[in-house]
Amino acid sequence: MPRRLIAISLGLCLALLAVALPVGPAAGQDLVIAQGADITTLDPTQATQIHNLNLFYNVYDALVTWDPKDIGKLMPELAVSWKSVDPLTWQFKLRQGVKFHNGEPFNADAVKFTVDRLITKGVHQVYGGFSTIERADVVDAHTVNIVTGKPDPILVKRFAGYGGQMLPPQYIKQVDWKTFAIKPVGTGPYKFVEWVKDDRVVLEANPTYWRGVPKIKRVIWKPIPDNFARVAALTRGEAQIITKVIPDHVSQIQQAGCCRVEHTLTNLVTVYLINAQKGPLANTKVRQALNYAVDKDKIIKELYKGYAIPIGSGIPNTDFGYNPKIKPYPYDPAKAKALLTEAGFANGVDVDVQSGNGIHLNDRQLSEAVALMLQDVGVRAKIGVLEPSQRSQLLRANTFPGLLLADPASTTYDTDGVLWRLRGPGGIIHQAWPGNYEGTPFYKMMEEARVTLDSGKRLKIYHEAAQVWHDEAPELFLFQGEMIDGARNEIVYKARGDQRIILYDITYR
Amino acid sequence: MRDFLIQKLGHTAIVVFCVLTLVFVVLHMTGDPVMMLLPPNASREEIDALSRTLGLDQPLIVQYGRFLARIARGDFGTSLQHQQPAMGLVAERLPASALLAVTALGLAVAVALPLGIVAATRRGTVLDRLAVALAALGQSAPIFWTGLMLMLVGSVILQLLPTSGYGTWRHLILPALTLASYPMAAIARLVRSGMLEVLDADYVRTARAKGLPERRVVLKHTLRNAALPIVTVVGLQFGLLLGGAIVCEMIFSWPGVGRLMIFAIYNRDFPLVEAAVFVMAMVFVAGNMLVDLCYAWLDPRVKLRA
Repeated sequence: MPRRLIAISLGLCLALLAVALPVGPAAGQDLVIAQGADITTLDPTQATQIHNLNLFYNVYDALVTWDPKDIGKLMPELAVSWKSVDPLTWQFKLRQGVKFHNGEPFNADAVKFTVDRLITKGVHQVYGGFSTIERADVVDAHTVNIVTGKPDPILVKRFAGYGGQMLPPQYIKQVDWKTFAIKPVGTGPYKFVEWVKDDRVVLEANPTYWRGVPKIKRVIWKPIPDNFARVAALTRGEAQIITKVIPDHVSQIQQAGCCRVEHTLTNLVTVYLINAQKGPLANTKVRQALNYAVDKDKIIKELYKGYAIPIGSGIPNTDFGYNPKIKPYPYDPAKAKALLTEAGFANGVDVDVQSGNGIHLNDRQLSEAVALMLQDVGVRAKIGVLEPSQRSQLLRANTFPGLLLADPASTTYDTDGVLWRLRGPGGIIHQAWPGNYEGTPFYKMMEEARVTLDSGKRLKIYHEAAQVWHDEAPELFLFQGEMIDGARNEIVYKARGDQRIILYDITYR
Repeated sequence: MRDFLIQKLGHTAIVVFCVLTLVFVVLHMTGDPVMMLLPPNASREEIDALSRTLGLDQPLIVQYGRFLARIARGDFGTSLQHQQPAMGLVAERLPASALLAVTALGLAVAVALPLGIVAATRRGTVLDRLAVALAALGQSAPIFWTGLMLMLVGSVILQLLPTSGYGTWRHLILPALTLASYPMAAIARLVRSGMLEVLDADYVRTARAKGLPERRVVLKHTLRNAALPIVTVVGLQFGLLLGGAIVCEMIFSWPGVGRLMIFAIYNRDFPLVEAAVFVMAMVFVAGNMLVDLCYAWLDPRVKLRA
């Protein structure tokens, strides 16, 4: 018995010694990208989170895509051109000679099949982005008309975001949706090879891609949930690109010598939604006071290491409708106190400040900072920390008390998406602010813009609406955030404002 | 023996039923998967449509009835996030979890047993104090800290092992060491205190008096008698290691059941959580049963009777 014990202990020591050999660099020319979570599906109609979308954008093509130099501007992809033939019809001319990875041709039937799927309610997660569409009509093999119920100025943009990926009708009829979700076929620059759940997804270059063969032959997507572990994987050369670097880890990456950070502004705006239905928060002056009481610059500098810019309304500068004349509320605690007094709350007010813990970057710390600043002007802030699903439930029931942290964004880079889809009729927070109820001037403006095809006129409406939004302050406007990725120096890679990782544009130095 | 097994299986069924009911109620009362599935700016129309499709618009009691009917057929349903059979997703990750748990437990026992024995037989010496201090450290250091420190030293500074992932035995070392740290300490302390209790017993003195070599006294007469509580702890630890490796799996990106389950809970993926909890409950029950069987083997006075 003791000998056996000694043998076991010795064996362990030997095993530990045996591993004391250096790990070599990443094998071959495989590009490894580490994201914060594993994908849940490869069916582009069944997920909307960026770590899933990144796979979709490389395995599939959409009709149109964003110009990487100017996100929000459309570029052709599987459609070569598009035009509005009447107020309710958009016509797309399709690229010819494109094939899916299984050899199936891409044509107007594939577009119709995809649109039919998108407009079926209750079976997938992207219906809302396409709910204005009535049907798709095949004109000829390479022309398709998409017909909407009401005029839809952003119809084409809808196809650049999630859900716009073109699906292979024959393949899906042959297998089924469940098989398709784990063995996908698209027309994109990369073909699906394998998915080992929670470990890796492997893609390889599509040799017959219509834009030419991609330069990087094999790409491995690895999920590494821990922030520090992702940075460690990058600096050790186990991954060449990592996503979601937190500001606190930036200096570690820069000091490693092997790597750099790539960062750019996104269209995510961080705000506290205000439930302004009743109580002190129904008073515009109280809401304005909250906006004056919070020092956004200090928060950006201390909590986000400068990777954000302050905002004056909930529309980011990436989106159509952004009004550059609207400036952020300045930090002015004296004015905040004066406004509270004017509103009849000289003795202060009680306000709930709610956020998740880890749902948004530094969310709990942000709430603590905001609560302290609010306390300085006489707002007795009570911090609440919510679990993700609890938070969603509160939102859905429109019962969140006080302030709730959120980071709305528009996938169409349009004011309609970031504002009216949330606040308009049927929107998730429509109830929270009576100023957007039916019959109000704000409601009329936003509803008019929704069906106005003339973009000059639409821009003018949005500029006015943004001013109302700023003045009425139905939100505590904080900042527009940056995304930070990490990359090895030997990789040519730039972060994109739409947060997408487009493999076709990545090369080795 | 047969009666014992039948009774145990009966207990198992009751335990699993209660656990699944509790999980069903808690999950349904505290969150909504539809909101987690749809994009944040989804409209009420979309939310209601998906709720109807998933049957979540029905009263809780109706949903519970359907749930029980499904479970009775052995059907754990389709994961809401993954759109794949829930039990299949859990089964896919079980081997990775089992590998990590078995390695960690093996490591824990292999280190803790000699450490505890040495500490007990050399009571009061530097060796004993060192062992006690190590055990206290292992039990009090939070697992995320241990994991990150091991990664920092083993991967980043010394560059000996991969930071995270799965696939080779090198990937296994850091997570296994991390996971082993707590049970290693717990078992070492238990071995030490158990041995100390027995070392003073009359039969040990008798064994020494009749001139048996000390090694035989310690390993045959003392250890075997001190083994009962150790076996209990080891048995329970296995269940904990299999299902409770969540933090370790997150840090080292290990594709196990714990990580699957935590994301499923976040997203209120009801079928997936239920399937994972079912498997975990079964593992715990099986671990307990093994402990009972070991008791009978270790202590002839114990009879397995219903």
